[in-house]
Amino acid sequence: MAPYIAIRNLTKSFGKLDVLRGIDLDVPQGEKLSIIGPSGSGKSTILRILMTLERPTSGEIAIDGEPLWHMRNNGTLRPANKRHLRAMRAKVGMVFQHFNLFPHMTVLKNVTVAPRHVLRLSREESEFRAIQLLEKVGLSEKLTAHPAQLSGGQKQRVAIARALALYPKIMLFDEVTSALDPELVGEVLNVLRDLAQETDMTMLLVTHEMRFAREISDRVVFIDQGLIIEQGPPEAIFSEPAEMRTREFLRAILGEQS
Amino acid sequence: MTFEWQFALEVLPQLLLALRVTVLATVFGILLAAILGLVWTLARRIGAAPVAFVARYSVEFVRSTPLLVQIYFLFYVAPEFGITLSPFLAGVIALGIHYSAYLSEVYRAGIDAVPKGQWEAAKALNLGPADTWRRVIIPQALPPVLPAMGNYLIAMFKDTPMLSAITVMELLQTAKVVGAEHFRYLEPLTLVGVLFLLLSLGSAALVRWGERRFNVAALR
Amino acid sequence: MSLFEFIPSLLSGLGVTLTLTGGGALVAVVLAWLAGLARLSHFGPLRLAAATYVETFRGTSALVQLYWFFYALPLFGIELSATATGIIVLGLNIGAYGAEVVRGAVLSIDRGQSEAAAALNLSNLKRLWIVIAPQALLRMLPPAGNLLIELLKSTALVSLITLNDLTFRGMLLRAETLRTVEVFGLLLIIYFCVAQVLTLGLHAAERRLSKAWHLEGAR
Repeated sequence: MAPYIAIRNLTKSFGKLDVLRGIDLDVPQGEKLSIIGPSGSGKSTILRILMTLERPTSGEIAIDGEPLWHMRNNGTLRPANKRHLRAMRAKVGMVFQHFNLFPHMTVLKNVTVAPRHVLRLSREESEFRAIQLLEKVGLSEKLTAHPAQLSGGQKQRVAIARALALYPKIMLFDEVTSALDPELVGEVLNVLRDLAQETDMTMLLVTHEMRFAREISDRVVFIDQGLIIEQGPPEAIFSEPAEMRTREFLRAILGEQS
Repeated sequence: MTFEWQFALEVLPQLLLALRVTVLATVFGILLAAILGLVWTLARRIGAAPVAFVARYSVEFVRSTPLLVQIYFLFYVAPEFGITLSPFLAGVIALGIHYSAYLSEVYRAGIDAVPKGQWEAAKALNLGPADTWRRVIIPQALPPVLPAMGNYLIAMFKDTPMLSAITVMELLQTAKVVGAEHFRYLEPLTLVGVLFLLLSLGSAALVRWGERRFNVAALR
Repeated sequence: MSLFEFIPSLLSGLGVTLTLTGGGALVAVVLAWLAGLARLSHFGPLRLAAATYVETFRGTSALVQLYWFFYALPLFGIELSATATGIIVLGLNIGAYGAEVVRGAVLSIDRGQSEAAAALNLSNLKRLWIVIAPQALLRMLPPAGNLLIELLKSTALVSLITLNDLTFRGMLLRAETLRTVEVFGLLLIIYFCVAQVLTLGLHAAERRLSKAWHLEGAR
């Protein structure tokens, strides 16, 4: 079976800085994949390219057999136009490190805005669905609150509900606990854990929470300096990494976290 | 009706001569505004409570009333107190007072931007108030606000045509007189617009250049 | 004639002044949004057109613009009433400054906001109007308040193109009574009061918005 997400020789440069230097990655449908690596290694950039927030420098990406940054045209590939990108984006949702909730909207409005304007659901339907999602993340009491009234952990849970409200097939989590106070990390991880266990969504997580990655991932990819150094089941990566750099990275970060 | 280049060229020298009055009014006006603005700021900052209060509301009052009415006020009221001001002088004083209110705000922002530690350090070194201001605060407060002052200089320059209301023969008044003589306003008025545009865009570019230079210097 | 008897005569000009301020503000708000957003467009010619408008009207005097529209424009067959000329020119003038306010406010919104909107697959237009513009509006209010006062002040210029606004009434009254100090003093006080009311109104609007979004502390 063809992989659900297929990334081929993906590169990305910002000016002279080569952030990604040739990434090949296949993700089957429903896989929970963690991407780990030192900061600046390019892991977030992969998610941002998948969300079409960043344009790749070269390489190809296909989602469900459909090219993401290209369009098929009589057997040849040409760069995607806006309409194609919007159509492809419908399959992908993303949660950001800094939440990026809309501060001028209530919690409920944050979660209903996309269903109403993108999926064109009725007000009742989108609110019904939003309340269900907010219940799932434990925030059904905060419907009328504004983001400024919430803690970081609550904000991030709203952001997760907001992304889920569009029924994405793929969810991207970009260091979603990195901006949180340590005591608030747990509540967000609990929501992610439930999601991983209960849904068949394909999930890509960029994270520094190693214990969590080990617990929920089907596979872990270690990236350094824009290249995949090593990948495999979490037990293999965390217990007996084959590569020197993986070992060094894990020793440094696990030393910090224990 | 079309734009007659011939006529435009004919009246251009006269307008360029009048530009001298406009520029002079701007230069004297900004000098007065710079000094008076400092007086307002210091009065608000170190004056006794009533002085500070009066200064604050004077600035607010001057800022929120029309320059044109202030020009009229000075020009027509001064004689009642036995002072006869020439139109030019009345205009320059009005410009100076009006913009002193804006510059006072600019100075204030500059002074507020000096870190509190600087005041404390000056105190710790036992510097007197005069030395603290002259040697510590003003040298740090002034350079960052120079671009803002430049922008108000340009704004004042663009306000000088209001002096035409009290018959100062600046650029606009000259254009009106020339227009009336020849029953053609299009060319003189257009030329005035173009002259203002060129000069203020030029000065704005100069201010931006100065700003960049200053920023580069500040980073070193 | 006592000071109080001046007031009705002056206030009859206040209506014209307020009409010009209100009409000018309306024109300015529309132009400021159009030109401010056009300057951020990806489409070059649109950016150039907006920049030309903004720089031309910011680079020349309001009074010169007023004279040009009043004396020179009719020569091209465009006849406007003095009131219309006043509203359009003052609106064009303040709108040019407002465009920079709009542009600055839109640029000041965190990039994460438009990225989140993109991730939610909102169209470009909806990203702007649902996500960015309301937040930018709050940041625009303080500078917009200053521009509104500038607009009010610049309405005095229309007295020079024969409109009988507050200032024009003041000139007439002075000529009639020769009570220069009182008439001009009163005139300045009326302008000051109107300015204070406008400023308070905008502050209230700003407080209301940030309170509705629970952004205490964030001014």
